[in-house]
Amino acid sequence: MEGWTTWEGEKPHLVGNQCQSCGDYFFPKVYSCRNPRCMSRDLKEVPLSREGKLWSFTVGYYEPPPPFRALGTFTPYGLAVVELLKEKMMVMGQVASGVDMENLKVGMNMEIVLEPLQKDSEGNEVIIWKWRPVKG
Amino acid sequence: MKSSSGSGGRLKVSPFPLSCPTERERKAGRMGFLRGSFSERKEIMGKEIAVLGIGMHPWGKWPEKKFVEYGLTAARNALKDANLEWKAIQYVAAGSTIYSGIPGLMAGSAFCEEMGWIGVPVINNFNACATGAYAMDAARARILAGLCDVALCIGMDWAPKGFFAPPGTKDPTDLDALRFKMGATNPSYFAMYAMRRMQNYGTKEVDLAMVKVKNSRHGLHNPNARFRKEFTVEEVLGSPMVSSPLRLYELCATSDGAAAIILSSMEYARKVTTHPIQIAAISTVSPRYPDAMINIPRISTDSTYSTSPEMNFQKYVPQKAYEEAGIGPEDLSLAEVYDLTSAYELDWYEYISICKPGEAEGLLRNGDTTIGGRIPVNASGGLSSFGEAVPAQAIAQVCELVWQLRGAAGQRQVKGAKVGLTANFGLLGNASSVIVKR
Repeated sequence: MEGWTTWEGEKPHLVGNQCQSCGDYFFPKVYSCRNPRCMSRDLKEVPLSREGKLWSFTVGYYEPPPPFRALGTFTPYGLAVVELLKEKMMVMGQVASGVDMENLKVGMNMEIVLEPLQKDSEGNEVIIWKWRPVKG
Repeated sequence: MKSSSGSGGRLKVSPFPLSCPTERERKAGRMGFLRGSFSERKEIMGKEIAVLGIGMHPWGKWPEKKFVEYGLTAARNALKDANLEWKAIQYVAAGSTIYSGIPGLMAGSAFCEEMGWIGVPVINNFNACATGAYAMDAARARILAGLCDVALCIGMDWAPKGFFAPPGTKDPTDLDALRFKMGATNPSYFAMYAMRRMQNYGTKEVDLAMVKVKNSRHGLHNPNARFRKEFTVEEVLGSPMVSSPLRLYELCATSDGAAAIILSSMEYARKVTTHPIQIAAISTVSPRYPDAMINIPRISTDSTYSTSPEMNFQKYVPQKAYEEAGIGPEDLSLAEVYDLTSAYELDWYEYISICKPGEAEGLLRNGDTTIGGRIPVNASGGLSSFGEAVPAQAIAQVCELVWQLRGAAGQRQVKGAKVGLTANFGLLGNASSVIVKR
């Protein structure tokens, strides 16, 4: 997902943009500020908070239709919506591999990791952001 | 009543003000160039139209059939119900269906060709689950403008089985395709709302099952329903988990079907009937920024950094219908709401303001929303008994209210029904709420 994520040192971040007039954040990036009270075209690319609070989550037990493609054999997968406190917005992502979904709780601290989502038509892995609980 | 635009003084004080200055405007002690206000909709209270006839093709799944076949049945039933000939129709507003190629996109045109062209304007629209309501809204505008007396609105759908999937895109940045790649099917979104509801209000799994049990008892008596079987709590809780915490029998299926409604001016209706059923409101408003809810197909919400949302979109849609009709939730005899899942039905009790947030479970447990209760919800059996035929569903909801208000709903009749409301919700900012009265 070229341009959607970035690394700051060892840590991955989502890349969004922020309106330089009203201050609202956007992810994915937008062409111009979507705030009808503002409508500025002065937007700056910014890394978004890499941690947030788990707003809600679900575990999918059935394989979704294409364009979903499991990496290998289908196994139940988690989806999480996480609130970014500074940006005052929510971002959805899959739950990272190896996370025990039984232990997920609304309100817990989550962080971004980058992992393969699926293989594209040429067999290359598509890397995307996923959420996992912050350790410790 | 007078309406006001964003630049003028406000003549009517709304309990839900639409103006909301941004943080920056508040700090600066002034309003922005838009004066921080969305323009208010024109007041249309007192502009009712009449329902002359309704008709449906039963909901079901027939892979070998075509959507126009369903449409023919629904339209012929509606014409018979209205005691009108096909050639008496002066305008056709039809919802598009997305899995049947070009004829599906121009479903109304394909339908008119099949019925036999009658030389009237035909529009085709797609507004997701609210498609049928948008068709009725277009017909109402024509009627109220005096451009026609009688219009037919129709929604027809043929859909593949299983999870709804995107019908195909060539845009690599299509977010609807991306969310499917992530596995964010429609039930995933509803499951996350349900999980959130359980967390906020202590909703139990048995509450979710009880919604299905109630709706299955209602739908048992509906000849147009697809699933006519009474479910028990045990059967629902024994069904497979699809998207936790939602189980198979708590999710709405994808169905085929068609619904038609014939609308006219009140003047025209009074020539043919003494007490016409009236459409008092058709709300088809879109969200207002910032939309802070993770609605399908979004993978993120708007940021509320500069501006706090006043009311979420789900609540805003019926609110505008109440304002349009000059009717409040206390006036309702019944409601048809969008039970895409059993948990979502509970959310809708609150969005249509028949109870306060967190009180929906109490209403359900008391039997208030069961036929015979204070405010029956989904007397038709709801999506739970029908499954969803996207472009037809908003019209089907209105058909049920009309049967109820006529006292013609048979064993599922809500006694003395006078006023009913529908609430309907689809993807990408498409939703509707219709108020019907007699």
